[in-house]
Amino acid sequence: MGKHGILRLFLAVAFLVLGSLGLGAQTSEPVKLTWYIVGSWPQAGQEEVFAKFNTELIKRANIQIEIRALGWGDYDQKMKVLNASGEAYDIAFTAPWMNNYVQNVSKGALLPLDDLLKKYAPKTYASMAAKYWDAARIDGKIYGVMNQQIFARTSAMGGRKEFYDLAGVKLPQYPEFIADLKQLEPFLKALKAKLPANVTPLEIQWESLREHYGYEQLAPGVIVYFDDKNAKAKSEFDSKEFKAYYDLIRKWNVDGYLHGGEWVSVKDRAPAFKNGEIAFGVGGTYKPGGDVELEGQYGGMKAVSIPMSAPVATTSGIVATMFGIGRNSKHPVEAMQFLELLNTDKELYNLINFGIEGKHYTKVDANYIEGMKDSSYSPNILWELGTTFNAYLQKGQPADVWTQTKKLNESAKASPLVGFNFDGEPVKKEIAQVDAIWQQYGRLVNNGIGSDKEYREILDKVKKAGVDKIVAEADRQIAAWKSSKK
Amino acid sequence: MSLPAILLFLLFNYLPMGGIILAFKDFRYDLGILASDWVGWSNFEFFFTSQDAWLILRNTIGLNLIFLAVGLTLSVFVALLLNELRGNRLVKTYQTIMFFPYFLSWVVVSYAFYAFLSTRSGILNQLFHVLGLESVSWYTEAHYWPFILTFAAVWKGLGYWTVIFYAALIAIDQDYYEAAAIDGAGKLRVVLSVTLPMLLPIILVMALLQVGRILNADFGLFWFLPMQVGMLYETTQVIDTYVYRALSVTGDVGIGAATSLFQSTVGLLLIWGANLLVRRVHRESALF
Amino acid sequence: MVSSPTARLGRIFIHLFMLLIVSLCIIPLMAVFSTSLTSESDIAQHGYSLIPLRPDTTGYELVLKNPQTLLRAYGVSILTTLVGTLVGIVVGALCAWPLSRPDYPHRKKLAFFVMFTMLFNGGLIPTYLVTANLLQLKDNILVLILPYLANAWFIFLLRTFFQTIPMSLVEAARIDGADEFLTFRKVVVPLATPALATVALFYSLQYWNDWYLALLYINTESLVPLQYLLSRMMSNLDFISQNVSAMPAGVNMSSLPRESARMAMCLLAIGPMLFVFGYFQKYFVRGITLGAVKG
Repeated sequence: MGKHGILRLFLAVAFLVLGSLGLGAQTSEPVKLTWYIVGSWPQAGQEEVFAKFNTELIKRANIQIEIRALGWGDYDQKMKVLNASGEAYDIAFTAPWMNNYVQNVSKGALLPLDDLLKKYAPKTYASMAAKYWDAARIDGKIYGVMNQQIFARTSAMGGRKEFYDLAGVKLPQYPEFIADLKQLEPFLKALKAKLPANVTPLEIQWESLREHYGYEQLAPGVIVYFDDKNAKAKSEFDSKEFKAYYDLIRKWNVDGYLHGGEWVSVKDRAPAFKNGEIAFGVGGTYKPGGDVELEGQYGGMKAVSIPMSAPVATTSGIVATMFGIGRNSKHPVEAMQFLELLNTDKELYNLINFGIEGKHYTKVDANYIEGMKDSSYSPNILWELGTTFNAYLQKGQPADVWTQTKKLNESAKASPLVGFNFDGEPVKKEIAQVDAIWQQYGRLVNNGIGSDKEYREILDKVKKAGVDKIVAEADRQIAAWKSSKK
Repeated sequence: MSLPAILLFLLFNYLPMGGIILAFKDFRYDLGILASDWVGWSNFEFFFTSQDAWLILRNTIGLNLIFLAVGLTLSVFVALLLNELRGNRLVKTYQTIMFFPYFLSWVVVSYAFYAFLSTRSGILNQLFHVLGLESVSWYTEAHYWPFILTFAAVWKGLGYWTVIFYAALIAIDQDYYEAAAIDGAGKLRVVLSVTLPMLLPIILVMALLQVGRILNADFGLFWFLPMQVGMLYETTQVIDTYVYRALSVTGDVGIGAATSLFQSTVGLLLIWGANLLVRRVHRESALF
Repeated sequence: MVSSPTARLGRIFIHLFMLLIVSLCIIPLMAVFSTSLTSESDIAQHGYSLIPLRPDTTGYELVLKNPQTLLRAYGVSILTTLVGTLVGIVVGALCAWPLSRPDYPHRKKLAFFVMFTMLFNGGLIPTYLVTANLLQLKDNILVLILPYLANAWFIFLLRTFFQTIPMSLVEAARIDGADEFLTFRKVVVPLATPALATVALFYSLQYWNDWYLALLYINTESLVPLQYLLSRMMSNLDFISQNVSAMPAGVNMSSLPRESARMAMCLLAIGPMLFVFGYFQKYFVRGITLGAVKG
């Protein structure tokens, strides 16, 4: 024993000496990872921030990371090509709405992470309850690491506070919510009467009201109601909710609450909100401190946000932003170690999200920061790059915003299908066709400019496109999922 | 002499063509192209079983034919006019300005058109307002779009096509004109009996090559210009945009490969047929 | 030349017609220019216009805030356009010349071989596999040049132009003892100058306007061409406005480049090509007349 101990000591010293001489290079050479992220890239100051990120990273682990930051419009396409061509990358952003998670898994683009997570990212693994991890499971395995944040989805509307005050009609505040769209009518009426003629009171979207109407969408045109214990799939458009919405929006358009045909082109939606041409918009999700985040959308004006449903936990809400590890990654262990750091190391998280102190933001006190005006680095994607709970607070956010968020997550009613991920592959043709129909009619519905004729056309076309086949396939998969859980 | 081109074609065009088999496969990333399962013709079903298949085919073929006819006629006409002005300093200016639209990508063109057509803030509706006319909601009324699209397509390509025909006109030997002038032929006769016949080969070749792409729509034009407004699909949806939209939902490579194989095969048959025809009429202009 | 009154009248009509065409071409560009100098709130308030009412240069300031990126992108674009055009026109002309010769035995086969590439392609993924994996061209400036060098459409264009060259001249040169390449240089090039200039112009436009190759194969910022900078700006905005309901809450739209900046970028991107166009125009006049060669 003693002899071995001395031998080991000797070897260790030898390695140290050799290592410092650069001879035992195999341990000191950092592992290089590639990391694909999406956002409003490139940012002018990104090179500097990424370099600093790497110097900080090497202090913590023997890892260097090449950050391939792609723009919104390029990311999905590029990831499809990379995945299809089997390119070796280590980490990539994946979600139901971008670089599609379920498709990636069903086509074999990502590695299963269960063992890696437990071994190399124990803190991250422990930081989220099992029910959340279940949401990321496909056929029982986890393929993505969620970025912790608001998981619960709550339909919401938002707008400038000055308009809200001008209307002078009180709307419910969290935890109260607008349970029926008709509740909005007095408010809209007052807005219409008091706003200048060139300001439109409301912009609304059927797609943003899923929690409000109490269902979750599995595939285009196919839904399951939250209160349906049997979780039976139904047709989305052949529902009393859709009929009610269709008619109400038509009426609102006649009443002048909407912009009718004028804004059908989406190009100028963002500036329209920013310049106050549209007063209120339905969309996004309610969250603590959300008013502050909304200010950006309303040209820096004080904003209000009003919940339109109770918070609900759904699979798609929980897995809304994730990182997966590429199937051909040469360093899955280090990739997972990196994700652990990103999710646990406050300094690293804030560096990649806010940039360098004094250059891109200033510290107001220990927790609060203020972004520099015209900063050369403000990607504004807190929800993508790690756990939001590690983020510095921005001016105006309540000090306990993250505690509130966690509480809201916990209080959310769980959909009966949390943990179920629908695989559209067997009915992809039907899905694509139903989706095309909604793309064709969606804006007409949401602007209230359709008639009974178009309503019947939608139902008819959706039926012909084979929505029943998708419903049947969904029922089959739900049944299989239920039996696998038992 | 053709070796460099042949090599480049082999590398960048023919080698990847092996991937055409994807049209018959259920492509999985982890299996790769060769090992993925064969699925027969099922990838082709997607387009043909679609309810709107006929509408989409009609839009694609119809609009392409209109673009071709209007574009060719107008650019040949303009080239002839410029040829009449040969030597005039303004010719260069005209040509340069006509080329402007070609420099803009379709995204930018869509913005420029939006500045005119926007219902609220568009220049056209402002003009209508001044003239006391009703404003038009261009982005919701499908029946305006065949005209708008034709205008845009011809407008963007006019400079490009005109340059081709103008270059061909310069190459015509002056002797022919002189001979015609001696015969005492009028301007119109010269154009009809000398200039146009000399232009015929290049017109035929351009037309032939375009006929082969009759099912391939100019994606940028149809994607960006109508701002993806669903209400306009009736006249703006073409094969390429339809498939692209489907791919962004299903992420299925096979469907894309199948559709493009269909487009190419039809194109090949058409070119082959048209070529036979051309060989009868004007032997030298035949492509092969 | 003395022109008759009818001919003069004709010319005036031609000028009037051309004026109409030219204004149709220039007016939308004016809208782009005017938007590049107008603030978003002004557009919202007064609508679009052809002349900036209150010129506002923030758009340009935003774009020029980072001159290194822009200059580097100009550099990449200029380099690829220059090299691509020069090599491309040689490759294209050398392929088109035999195609135009009735005495070339494999003419039909070669024509079909070239034409086939216009119709069929392997699709995105196989092309990517060949270019990135087999040829290892990723993140290499050559990838912005090589794939577009051989272009079937340009080759057919050149072939058609070459066909107008009388075979008698070629034979005369051969009798004088010139080999194929010398004939090509001494007879074809001078006679087909306008054609070569036209196709060279098309090559340069193709290279200058391309962003797709960069999207697929370039990861290094220093190799990003100008048009990719522009398309990135455009598609960022496009995506967010289309998918806003699908995205997680808190996507901050205020950080997107404003419309004036996008239009400014677009004008900066086309600027240099206007000069290039003027350069090529020099050759749209006949180099040598046929008679001179015949003599």
